Amino acid sequence: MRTNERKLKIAVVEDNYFYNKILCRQLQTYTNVLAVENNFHFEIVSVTSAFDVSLFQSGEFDVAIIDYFLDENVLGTEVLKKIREQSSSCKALVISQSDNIVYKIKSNVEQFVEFVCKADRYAISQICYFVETAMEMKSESKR
Amino acid sequence: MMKFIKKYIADKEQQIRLEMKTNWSKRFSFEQGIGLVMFVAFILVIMTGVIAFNRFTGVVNKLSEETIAETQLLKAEVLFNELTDADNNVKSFSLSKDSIYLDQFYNNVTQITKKINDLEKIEKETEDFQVRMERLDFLVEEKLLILQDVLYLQDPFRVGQALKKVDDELNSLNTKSEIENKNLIQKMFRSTRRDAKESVDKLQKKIKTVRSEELKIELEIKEQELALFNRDKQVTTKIRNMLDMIQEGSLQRAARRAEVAARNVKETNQQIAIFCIFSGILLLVMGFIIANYVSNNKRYKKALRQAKREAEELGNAKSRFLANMSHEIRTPLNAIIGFTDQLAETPLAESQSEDLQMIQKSADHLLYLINDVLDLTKLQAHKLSLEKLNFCAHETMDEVMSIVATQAKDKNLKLLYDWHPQIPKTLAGDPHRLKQIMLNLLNNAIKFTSAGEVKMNCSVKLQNDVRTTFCMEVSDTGIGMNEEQIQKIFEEFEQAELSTTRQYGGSGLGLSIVKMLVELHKGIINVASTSGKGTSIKIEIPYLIGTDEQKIIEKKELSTDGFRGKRILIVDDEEFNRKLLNRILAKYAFVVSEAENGQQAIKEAEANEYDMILMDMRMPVMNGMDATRSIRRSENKILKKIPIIALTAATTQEEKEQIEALGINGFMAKPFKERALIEKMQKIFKTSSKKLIKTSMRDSKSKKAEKPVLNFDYLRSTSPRDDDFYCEMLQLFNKSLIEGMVEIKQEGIRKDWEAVANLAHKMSTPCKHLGADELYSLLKSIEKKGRTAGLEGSWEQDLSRLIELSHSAVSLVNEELTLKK
Repeated sequence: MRTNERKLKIAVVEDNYFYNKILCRQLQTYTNVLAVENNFHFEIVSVTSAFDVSLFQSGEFDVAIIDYFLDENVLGTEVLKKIREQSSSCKALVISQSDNIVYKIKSNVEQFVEFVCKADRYAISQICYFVETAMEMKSESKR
Repeated sequence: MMKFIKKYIADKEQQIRLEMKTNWSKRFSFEQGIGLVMFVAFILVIMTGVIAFNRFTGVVNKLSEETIAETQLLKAEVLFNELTDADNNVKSFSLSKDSIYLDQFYNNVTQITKKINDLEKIEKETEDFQVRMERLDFLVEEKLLILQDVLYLQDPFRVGQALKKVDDELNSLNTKSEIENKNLIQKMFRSTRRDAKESVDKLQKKIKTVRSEELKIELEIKEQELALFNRDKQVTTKIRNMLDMIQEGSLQRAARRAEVAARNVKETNQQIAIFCIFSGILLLVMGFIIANYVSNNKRYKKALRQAKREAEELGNAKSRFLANMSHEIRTPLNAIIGFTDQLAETPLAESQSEDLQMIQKSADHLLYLINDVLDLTKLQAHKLSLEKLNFCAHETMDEVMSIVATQAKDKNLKLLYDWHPQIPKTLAGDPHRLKQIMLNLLNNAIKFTSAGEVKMNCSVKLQNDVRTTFCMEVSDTGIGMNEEQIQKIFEEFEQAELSTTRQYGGSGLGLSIVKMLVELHKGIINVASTSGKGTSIKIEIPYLIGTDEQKIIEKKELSTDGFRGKRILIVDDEEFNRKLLNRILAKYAFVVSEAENGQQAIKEAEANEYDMILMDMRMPVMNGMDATRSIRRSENKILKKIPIIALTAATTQEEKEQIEALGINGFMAKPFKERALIEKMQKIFKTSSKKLIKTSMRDSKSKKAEKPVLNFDYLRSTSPRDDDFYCEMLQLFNKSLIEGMVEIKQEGIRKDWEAVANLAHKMSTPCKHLGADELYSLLKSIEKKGRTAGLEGSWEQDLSRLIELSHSAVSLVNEELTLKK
């Protein structure tokens, strides 16, 4: 199912319940403003497990924000590959507590992936900017 | 200006109400009109129904009469047929002498009598017909008499009579013969043969006589019969003519009735058509009225929506106006207050010092007025929320008393207060708003009292271990108010009288703000006043009883260590603001650079390394928000982490939230005091340098226990108006930390260092977001060691420190939760 032109569907895969909640909350606040300013609709699907079926039953995603180290020894890049099977043009942002994960990601994933270190004080702001950029790109591509 | 806007809004509201009222009155008249038209239409339909029913009943009756006429014609035909039958039967009887015909004849007579009666019953309406019927009756009777006569002529005993005659003749002959026989016997012997021959001759002669008589009678009868039949024929012809006349009359009447019925139908149709046309016109009128009403209704709705939009726009314009005016006034006021403060620190002549104090007072008063207006706007928009802090109410009162003491002294008023010893030392609530309430009430009392005293009594009631109701009464011996004036004093921009404004000045906002603040606290306020004697205002506010340990109102000495040489970039489009900041910061040995807008600031920050940026938010070319966003997105890791303090005169909650969401480190509302700015800067520098200090402490293997400092600011900024979320996240933090500790201990006992590293990794994220930096660092260290198999030797020591830090963190979070609840 293709997402609609003025809609951005965001997947958040973060096993840490605390961080997941706080991230979704911030994303929600940020996208609420973006939605009004840009006449865009945002939908956030958040899961704490890579095996949560709702992740793969929610249709195509435009943006995926995935933690690198997930529970049960699953890597975020594996989840991303799965998501991209359904949503080939999905923009991905891998988040991790460790800074050096970025090299691993770049070597493991063929397609372009952004990285944000959760330890960064402005990590959530950067994630929000990433979403905003994705929205702008989608908006421009549809023009 | 404010009064004008308020009046405009009130006028607009009145206009809307008036329009709505007019709309209602039109609606009412519309309902009446429609009701009337519907009633007329209903009457017309009923009338149409009744008339149509009557007319058609008449037509049906006419048609029934026509059927009767047809029946009459039929009966006349049947009557004639019966007469003909009777005629035939009589003739048949006269020919055959068969009694069947006689019976049939009498049947015919019965039927004829019946038919005559029926005919008489059917038609009686015209005299002409009655005459004809009488005539017909007479003719039929005559005919029947004729036929009866004919039947009389058919005497069955006439042959018998003739035979009897013959028999009589024979008997007379026999009697003569017997006599003659006797003579004959006597004469038998005389001549028998000759006598017999004579007797036969006589007999034949007699029979011949009888026959001739009979023939004669027969002829007479025949003649009579013929005469009767002729007569009958004439009568029958007359009957036929009479019946034809009756039939013709019936047909003529039927034709006339049909004509009348047709006329009736035509008239009825015309009347129905007229009624239908009239009803149609009425329906059209009704349709027109309804359409007109709907159209008007739409117009009214549109007008109402428009008026509502205008009113809302006006309301928004009011808010925008207030926000803009506030911003525009606050910006120069910042410079006035700031420079006055700076100037006050320089050596001045006594007169200069006095002048400066006047400027300071005026500026403070202006700020006070602006804050009042903004507070009122926030209160009206329900955007003002109360803080929950532990504070000493007595200290608040002292502070307020010291502020108003000068005013009271200037007016030679006694300023008294009574503080009840049962008032708890610490209350949990919003000290700033209590101070505002006290200040407003006391200022007001002093303003309207020219001689005598102003007194504040503070007490408590309904107190238990957890809650108390703080009571405060401010009384004065001022001008007082009458009942009418009391009713108006809580209205915005209202004072007891217009002359009051002229004489005493003031915005008229103080008491309305007090009332709204008291109501926001779920408290009550009462006024008692006597004109010329004074006023007493009592308030009751419920508070939770606070704890001394959690009291956060404290004044610390400013420590400016470490400021020297730090590079600060000031970004502000207003030169005087830049100059003021430059002046303040120079005193603390900061190295200051300036930029006039966001674009310049980015260039400057990219070109040089700064320790902090003080960023104004509203600037031309590029505003502070865009500049901050751009810096936070920078590829330069050092630049994107540079501490930024937002300086803004913006005061709305939305603007604050928007600014906080940018990832700024601090927020200073203009006009700000030097001390507040420096404290803020100090706090931010302390946070950023903490990591270095702690590393250094660990390096020196200092075993001095340091309490983990939790910083709830970040979490609070994510949920500025959602305490539930804030508390939920705090609880979640504690839960995950406690559960994580249990698991990490178990994994440590099992010496599964990989699992310990994974758990440490998982636990570290929330610590980062609650500012538990030491705990975070320890967990990261454990994670690193766990993944490189270097944990075995230091586990006991790390675990012990981990338990200590996590206990402290859990305890601090619990304290914060208690405070919030």
